[in-house]
Amino acid sequence: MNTAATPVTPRIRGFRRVIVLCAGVVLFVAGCADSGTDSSAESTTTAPPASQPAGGEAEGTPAPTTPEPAELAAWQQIDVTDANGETFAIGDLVGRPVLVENFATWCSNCRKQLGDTQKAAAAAGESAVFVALSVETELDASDMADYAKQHGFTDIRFAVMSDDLLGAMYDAYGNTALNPPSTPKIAVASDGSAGELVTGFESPEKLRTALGLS
Amino acid sequence: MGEYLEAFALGNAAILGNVCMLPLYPGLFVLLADRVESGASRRSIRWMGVLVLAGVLVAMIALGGIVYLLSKTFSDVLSVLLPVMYAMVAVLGVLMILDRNPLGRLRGAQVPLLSSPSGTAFTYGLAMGPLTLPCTGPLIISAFVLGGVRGTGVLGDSLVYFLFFGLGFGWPLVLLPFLAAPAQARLTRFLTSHHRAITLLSGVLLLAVAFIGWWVDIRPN
Repeated sequence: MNTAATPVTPRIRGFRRVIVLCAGVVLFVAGCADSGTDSSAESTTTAPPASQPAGGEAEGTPAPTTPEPAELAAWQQIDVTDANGETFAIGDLVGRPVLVENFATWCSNCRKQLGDTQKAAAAAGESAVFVALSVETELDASDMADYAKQHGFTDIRFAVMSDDLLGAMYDAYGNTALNPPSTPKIAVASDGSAGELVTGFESPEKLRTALGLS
Repeated sequence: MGEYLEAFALGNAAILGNVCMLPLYPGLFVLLADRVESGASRRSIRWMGVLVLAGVLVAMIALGGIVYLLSKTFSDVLSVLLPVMYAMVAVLGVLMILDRNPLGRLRGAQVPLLSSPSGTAFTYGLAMGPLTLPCTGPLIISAFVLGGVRGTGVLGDSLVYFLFFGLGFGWPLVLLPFLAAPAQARLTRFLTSHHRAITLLSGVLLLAVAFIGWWVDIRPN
């Protein structure tokens, strides 16, 4: 068997570099497509952990006249305390669609997205609930309240994730749910069924559509 | 593996959506120019970007670990750290405009780590790493919190995810020196004849980055 190494000619080296560069460009373009730098770009990353997709029924199943409550995922059953000191779980909000958005106070992407979320929340009024969850579990509730007030996010319910909720989110959606710059969001239907994790910027209109609001 | 590729893609998106990585580029240009002009080997030039990025990632993981151990949030840390860091970037910019390149002077330092090209690049990454925290801080903190809740396996998984995210937003840093190395002879001629203009431009860029950083990250908080 000939074990001598094949000489790498400059042409082969050049070809390799082109391939590597092309691969980089392809990944970069893929990244841009997922980035959500425009509102049409989104990346659905993880299947919903609940037994049904958000707001939908299994194919071929007749729609019930009164929606049955869906089986809640573990993360929906964990209590959090909001900026006003009230304790609640996402699962307590069954009956109205809920948008859950994970954020951090120093994340500029989050601020930008929360601005659009605020618009959607203001337009939705009482017909939906918009919840922003800080992934920084040590964040003080009063600091979060100041943050919401300072930026005019008055129609969004802010809360800090507990360590348990952080773990349950990781179990359900992976690390991307805990990566605030990718503006991770989950739409929960009014029956409590959680949708897929969506990343990237979403306009107020798209957020309302995701929640099934007209 | 799919999640790691997704992290890499999201890192790419972070390049476009944030100013966090911008401060690293003017300094890298100047470091590159300094090495090329001083006749450093192609090999050492090639790996400069990798070392800068390694410095950035090490700084972020170390800071994340410290913040986690102290039970603090990045909100506490960044409100103090970022103004100092962006002030440093502005001072660096002014020094460059005045043709007093502090990065070039590191080569003459008596400290062994700083006197080698690799050490300078790594140290530069370490020093500038905290500026990228608004983009990556929560992610690295979550990794440590998850480690505490779910064990070391999950900590490892989250750190690998973070590294892929870091590679996603840092690959242009890595690529630049690789592109520069083969054209070293031409670059040397260009840099020698345009040395002052390059230093001036880098200084102006650093000042602009400091202003943008203040506008985007500090002013709203």
